Amino acid sequence: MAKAEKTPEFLVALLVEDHPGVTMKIAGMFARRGINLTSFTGASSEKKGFSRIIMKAEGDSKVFEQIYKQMNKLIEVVKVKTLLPDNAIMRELALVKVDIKDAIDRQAVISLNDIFRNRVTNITPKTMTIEVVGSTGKIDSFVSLVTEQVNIRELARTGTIALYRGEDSIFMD
Amino acid sequence: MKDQKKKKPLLTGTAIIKKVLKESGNTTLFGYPGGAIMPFFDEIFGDNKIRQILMRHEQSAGHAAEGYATASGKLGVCMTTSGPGATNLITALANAFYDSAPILAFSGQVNTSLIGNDAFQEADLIGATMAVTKHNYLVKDVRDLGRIFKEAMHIASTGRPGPVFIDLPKDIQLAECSLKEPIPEKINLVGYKPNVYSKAAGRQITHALKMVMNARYPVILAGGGVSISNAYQQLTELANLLKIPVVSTIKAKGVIDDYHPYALGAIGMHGRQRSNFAVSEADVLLAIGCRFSDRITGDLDKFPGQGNAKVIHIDVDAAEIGKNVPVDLPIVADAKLALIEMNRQIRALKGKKKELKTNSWWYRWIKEMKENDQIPNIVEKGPEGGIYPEKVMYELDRIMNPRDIIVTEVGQHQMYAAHYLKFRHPRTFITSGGLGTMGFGFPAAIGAKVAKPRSEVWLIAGDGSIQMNSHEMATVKQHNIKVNMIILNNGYLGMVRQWQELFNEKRYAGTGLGFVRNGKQEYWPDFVKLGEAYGLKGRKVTDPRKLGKALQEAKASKETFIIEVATEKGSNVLPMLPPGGALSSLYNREGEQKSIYDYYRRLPRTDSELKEFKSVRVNPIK
Ligand SMILES: Cc1ncc(C[n+]2csc(CCOP(=O)(O)OP(=O)(O)O)c2C)c(N)n1
Ligand SMILES: [Mg+2]
Repeated sequence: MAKAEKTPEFLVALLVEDHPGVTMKIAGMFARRGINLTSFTGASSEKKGFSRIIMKAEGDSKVFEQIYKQMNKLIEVVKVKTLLPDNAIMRELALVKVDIKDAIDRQAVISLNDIFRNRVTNITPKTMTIEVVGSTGKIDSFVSLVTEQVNIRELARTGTIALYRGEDSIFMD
Repeated sequence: MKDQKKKKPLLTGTAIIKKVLKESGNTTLFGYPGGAIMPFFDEIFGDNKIRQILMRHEQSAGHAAEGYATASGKLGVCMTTSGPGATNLITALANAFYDSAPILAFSGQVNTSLIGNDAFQEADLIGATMAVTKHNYLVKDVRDLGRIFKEAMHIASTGRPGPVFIDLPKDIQLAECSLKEPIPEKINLVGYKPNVYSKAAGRQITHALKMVMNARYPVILAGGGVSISNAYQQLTELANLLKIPVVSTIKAKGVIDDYHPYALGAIGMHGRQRSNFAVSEADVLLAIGCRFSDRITGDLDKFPGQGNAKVIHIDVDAAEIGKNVPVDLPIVADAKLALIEMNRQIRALKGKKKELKTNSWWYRWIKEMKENDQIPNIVEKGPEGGIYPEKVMYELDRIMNPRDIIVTEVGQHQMYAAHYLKFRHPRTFITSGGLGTMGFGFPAAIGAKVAKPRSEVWLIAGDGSIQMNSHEMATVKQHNIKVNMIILNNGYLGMVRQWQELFNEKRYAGTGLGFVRNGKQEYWPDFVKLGEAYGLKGRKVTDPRKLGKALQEAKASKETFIIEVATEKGSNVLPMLPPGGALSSLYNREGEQKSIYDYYRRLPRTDSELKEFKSVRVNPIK
């Protein structure tokens, strides 16, 4: 069976004025044009009154171009840039809470944590909460490997955040 | 008291708004009051510098502001109360958004302390207007008010214009502003810098000219942007310099004189055959300020030039370029600035030589293509005893002055007007293009008349559309605004009936406005009597020979006059493109499916083809 083709994705970084309703306007723009957002993160930036928003969405270069232009039209959006794996540092954080039935389970998860250099942030006789940091792919593979050993009770992911590699930056001039 | 310096009283929120509006010259306001906007109405009460026109519905207030804006080229302003007042405005905002009209709309809102509590007449207008405005604001501090109003007016009327909505809590209107300068001298919008012209655009224009001058059959497509940026002189100059045809979208009617030898008229679903033919034969399309809506392009795979033409697209909104039609040469610029530069470059090329060398062969056929351009004068009645809509256009065209303004509702009557009437000046044809809003026409005509009191304003309405906002008859009576209303009564939601006839096997579901009771055909209302109820005069016309006189009577009348024309029930506005069909396909006047090439010949491309070629038309006019 041929492998199903993966839907192309792109990553957009915005610098936006921090007004109420801005996130709604940005997310609404994707929804209105029928584009699937796979991740959305936003919080304050280095400049007061401005937030940095990083989004991942499904679509090819044509979709990206339209989104790029539409984002630029939003009055609160000051900067729009695309980020690619070879020009950007990308990170995601996941918190994974797993069920631990016995010592065998615990040992299995601990050895996986070693390989992935995860931190255990909380532990009880029945659960273990693990902090995984890295690329989206790394988190995906940890999740699939740990599922082979134990049951995931809860999973929370931040979505990707990213900055340009090196001296390139997206800031207000 | 002698030491105490007299302190300047602090301005309230409503005083700030009034001041900003007056200082910017926006003193005509279309609105409707209610609890949450009472402070502002109170502020302008008795101020003879402000003209407040009380419409009878908030939707009308929005459309009237748009009619005013479109006729004048200025900002249109409207205001409503919170909740239902503001939600009633949504359709008008959407209409202005799709037709890029500069509108400032503000609505009262419940007090800031109540927002989010589902208070009486509270509605989330920021959420509701988001998708249909260029921008919106919720004012949360009276110190922001002056800046927000200035920004809103700037955003609404620059770049690609559009409606801007301001949500205005009642307590903010009443609050006093402690700032020394409640209205800032300058505004600085970091995220809003419309790209109206750049050096890069200048270089692209050089490339564009090369493409156009090397082409055999280049065509200019003018869109509403040409009208919005007031680029009509430049457009005409370009056509004169290059001697190539200009076709237009319906929002661009009037940007070039319809009698100009190179002006072919509108393209698209209800466009002119010769225009659709020209674009089907084009090898380069120079599109200016249009957004390639599906009503214009037909089947995208065959657009333009059967899918083989190169496309140059000039638009101030970069997001429009490449959105629907792949573009070979994008130029992000204001239409007027781009055309000024284009004409400058052509004149420079022309230099001392008298003639400009282009490869275009259009000049050989253009005259023949423009032959037989008259509106048919059908004096007989139709098989069902009605007057043909063409006849209404014929008579109206005869009586119209070139500076008269035509406003339409939406439906067949709109397309008859766009198809047949001749426009000689920009901003003389006002219609709902992008959204196609029935009910737009009458209030927009009111706004147009307020903007241009010395021009005759003619409303062309259908019997369906007029009923969406016919209550505005009270407004024209109260404010003494004269609109010459022509209601084409075909007893149907005609445009939908036409589609049912052509595509739904004549199953006329929900489109008949008349009915049969006790074996008798009935129709209500009687539009002339409806006018009488509002204190207006009118005339019903059932005899085609009496049309001209009725139009004269309306023109001579001192106030709004209603002409109800009994038009032919079954008449269809043809030719039209089949939905989804290519620009070269059509239903002809007999309702048969044809190709444009049943009427026009493929144009020659080589010298040998040229030798054989005698006439553009398959059946030349004798
Ligand atoms: C608000 C709104 N509702 C529905 C439609 C769909 N529609 C388009 S044209 C039309 C018929 C218009 O009838 P009328 O005003 O009598 O004009 P005619 O086509 O008969 O000339 C309708 C229902 C619309 N465009 N706008
Ligand atoms: Mg009708």
